Amino acid sequence: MMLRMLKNDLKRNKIITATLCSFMILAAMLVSGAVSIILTLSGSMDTLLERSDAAHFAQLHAGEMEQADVDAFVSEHEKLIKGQQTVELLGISGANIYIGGQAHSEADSLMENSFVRQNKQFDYLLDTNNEVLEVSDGEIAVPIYHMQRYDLHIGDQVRVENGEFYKDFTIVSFLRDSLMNPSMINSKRFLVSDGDWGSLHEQLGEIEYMIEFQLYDTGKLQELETLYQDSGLPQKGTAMGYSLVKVINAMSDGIAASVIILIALLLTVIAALCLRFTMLTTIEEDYREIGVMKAMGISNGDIRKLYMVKYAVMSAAACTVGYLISLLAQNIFTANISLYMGSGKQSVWNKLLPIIGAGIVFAAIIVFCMVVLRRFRHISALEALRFGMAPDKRERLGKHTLSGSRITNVNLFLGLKEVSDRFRVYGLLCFVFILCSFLMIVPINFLNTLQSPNFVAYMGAGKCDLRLDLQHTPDIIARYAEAEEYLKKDSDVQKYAALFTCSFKVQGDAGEYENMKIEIGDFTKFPLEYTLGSAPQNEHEIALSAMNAEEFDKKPGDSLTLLVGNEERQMTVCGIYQDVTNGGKTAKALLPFDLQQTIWFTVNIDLQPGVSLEEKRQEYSEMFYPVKVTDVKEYIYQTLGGVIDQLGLVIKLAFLLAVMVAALITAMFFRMLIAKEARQIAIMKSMGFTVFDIMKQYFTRAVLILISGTIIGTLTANLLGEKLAGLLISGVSQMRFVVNPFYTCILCPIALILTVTVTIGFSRRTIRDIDVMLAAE
Amino acid sequence: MNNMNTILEVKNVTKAYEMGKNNRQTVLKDITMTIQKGEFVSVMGPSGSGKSTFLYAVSGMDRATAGSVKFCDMDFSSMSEDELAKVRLSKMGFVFQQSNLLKNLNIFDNIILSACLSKREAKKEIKERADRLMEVTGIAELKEHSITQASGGQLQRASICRALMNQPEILFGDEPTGALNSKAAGEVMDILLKINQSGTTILLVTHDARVAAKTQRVLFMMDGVIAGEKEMGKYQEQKGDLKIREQKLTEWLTERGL
Repeated sequence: MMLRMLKNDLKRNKIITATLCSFMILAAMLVSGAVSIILTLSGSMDTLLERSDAAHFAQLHAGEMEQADVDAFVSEHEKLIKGQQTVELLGISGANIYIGGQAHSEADSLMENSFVRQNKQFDYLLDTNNEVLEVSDGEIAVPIYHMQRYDLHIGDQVRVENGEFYKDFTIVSFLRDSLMNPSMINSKRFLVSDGDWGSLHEQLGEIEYMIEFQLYDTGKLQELETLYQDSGLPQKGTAMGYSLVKVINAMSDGIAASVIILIALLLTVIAALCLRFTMLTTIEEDYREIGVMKAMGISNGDIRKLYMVKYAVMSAAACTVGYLISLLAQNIFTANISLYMGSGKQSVWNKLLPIIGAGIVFAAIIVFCMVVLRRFRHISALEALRFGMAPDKRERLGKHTLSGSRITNVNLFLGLKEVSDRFRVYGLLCFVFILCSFLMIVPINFLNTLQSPNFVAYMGAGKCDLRLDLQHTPDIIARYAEAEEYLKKDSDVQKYAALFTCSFKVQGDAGEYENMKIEIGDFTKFPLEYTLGSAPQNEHEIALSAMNAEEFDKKPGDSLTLLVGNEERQMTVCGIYQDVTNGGKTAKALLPFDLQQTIWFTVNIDLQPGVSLEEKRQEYSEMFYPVKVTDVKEYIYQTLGGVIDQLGLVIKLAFLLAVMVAALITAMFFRMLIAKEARQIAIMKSMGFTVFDIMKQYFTRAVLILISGTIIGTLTANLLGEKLAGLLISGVSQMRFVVNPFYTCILCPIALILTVTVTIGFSRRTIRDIDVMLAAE
Repeated sequence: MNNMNTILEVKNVTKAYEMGKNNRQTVLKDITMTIQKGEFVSVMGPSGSGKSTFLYAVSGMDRATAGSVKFCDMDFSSMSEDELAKVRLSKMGFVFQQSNLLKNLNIFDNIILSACLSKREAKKEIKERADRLMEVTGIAELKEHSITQASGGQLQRASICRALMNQPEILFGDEPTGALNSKAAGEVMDILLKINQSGTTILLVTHDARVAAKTQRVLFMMDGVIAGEKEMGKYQEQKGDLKIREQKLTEWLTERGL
């Protein structure tokens, strides 16, 4: 009998059942998939770090160094340090590198490419089988990032050229790099043979050192970092710790897993809502039969079981299918992880936990069903038999009357009155519309903000047209002087300001000194937007980035001790700003500095109106080589390009999902409502209301709820969405969306209104099929 | 139409229901009849004889399986559902056994609803006419009440008011007094008589001989056909002949086995 009931029910609600099952399948699939991602990520990362024998601490240094000093430091701390090696990175400008036979060089890429030899002690560069790479002369191993970006294959060519000199390499493998793997790290290592490295070094490039350490106990990483910073050893460059490496490696795929889990949660909620509507409609339609069963003496529990089995079978089947699909799709879910980190060790948990994930979706649905089916208790056998439908508990009429209303259109009036009298009934639908608006608007606003020229405010810089960047080189002073001289004379330049970043020691809470990179220069020409306070005005004021302010627990007015020269200086925190660059930890002050000690310098430039940005960029690129010249819009795109591209996809998916959810929930909600109000509809038909008249009433209700939902959704998207977006980009404490009113106030609401209109249009048949004779029963 | 005064012409109407494979139940069998403008006709017969089915088939609420129904020269069989709805709105009134008022409107709004929908008059005039009808039917004090605050008889009067708001050519009643006590039933019948006297044609189904005795013509249905027809003449209250009419009708019905 159960099987027959199930079959009949599936036949009766083919489309709804199919949609409902799809949502359950998707939810189960995504939860299983996300669990797989997390497990694979953790396993693969451990394997990569183990096979590469990763370094625990690495300090980059541009400039001269004495290995003997480092050796002395190692001997001094031999109980702490297990191993040390100094890697020579041969930095070659992008303009000299041509990858995969492409006509254009890597000049426009933000990636800093360096050529290295295989390490001898640890931090090995691995191939795609996680084996230590060995290359012969004329061969090269290219980072996975480049392979993915240019769709490279084994056998493709890489050319390095400089004037007359050129050298071609054949790609023999793609390399996994435990330190520089992720696309978020803008340094990449290419592996060549020792001989080729030597011949390249003779012709071009600049050496940067990476001083690497391995510890006996990775828990003592902080201790080593502090000892190193205090030792006066070479440190003109970024430092990376083992934990940071792990976080950065896990970040992009970890975020993907979190987003998938969020979507799965959303789908589970939607599936639950759909299920609720389906069940309530079925109960409404079966009301008389339920009454008969009750009158026959069948208990509530037994009746509930009849319905429960139906949905339990459906959700069990859907969750099983979802899990099976996730097994098939596992490679897609974990493709990126496998590509960048390889496969990790498989344990029984890799199989068991995804099943548990799908099981949780199943359990959530069943619990939800049980809650909904509790309403059987409230059905009176007598009322069910007499009226065939749930009695309407409304006693009180709303204050709006047709006779007193100025609205002359009866259908419009009836639609409005229904919603205003019974807004609670429509609360759920309103919530869905809020959710849909939120889903549509947040990614659009986020993208719009990222693409806005004002976004530079979140990058710790004022708005400008072009910027010049130069990392430390021995001739940094000469290069800066040359650039400044040129800019001073260039009539196309409206204004410019140079900012120098130097490392200072700052006292932490426990009295220990830590390094902090501080930008020094004229902050008035390109003013920055401060979330709190303002720019430093004198030599005793310092502005901190939001992340630094959080780390040191400082707010404007607080004091901070800095070592300037060899003297302690009490600085007052004057402002806090947002910065997503350089790991988000920066500061700005007006301090005396030695240009020779500058880690890098930046020059912000505004051009005269009408001057071509691109031409100027090219001119400066040639003139100031190897200074990197960036169009700021392009700079934002290159820094956040990955996020922007992904957001484009998210926008499309979110838009589609929102439209689908709005259509589905509207269809189900109104189907339930129409089933409940079938007799009222028949009465109206008997009075002479046409199907179109009645549809107008339902349309009015839907649009009214939609407008309320969209308004609340848009406001929520702006308020809550800004916080959510701020969480996604580290370094941004307070994001203010740049709203494009065309998208948020016109396009998204119109898309939802059209969706709802079309959906209500589909309910025409349901309304038409209600027999007017029902009024006579 | 042969006669200029004929408002409803029913020709060879059959209504059958498919009850599954090879099971067809014919409820109305080849019925032919006419109703003249201003007539007050009642349909009687035992349960299951097809009275209500007949009423709904000839009023266009339900479609006949075969045959034709012409109302004011309009052939229902060639009309769409929307066209039929418009005819119901502008030229017909219905009173059911249950009052069938909309739950979310008060009594006054229920009454004026169809008139507001038809938009033939200004709202002021609609309200004035509704006031008059409520006065006539004795429910003027219920204007602002919800339908849960009125008795069955009062609700039935309200539904008569609603049915009359668009000044219909014909009023159809399906046991309009069926759910009322005898006092309330008598009052509702008196209202229907007044309406008929003012020129509205009425066709009603009833099982109550006291109700049918007040109508001009009685159709007797049996097994899906009109098995007899009795011309009763116009009922005039002042003559006090109701008892005689009731007696004659009962005798006639008894002869037919009712």
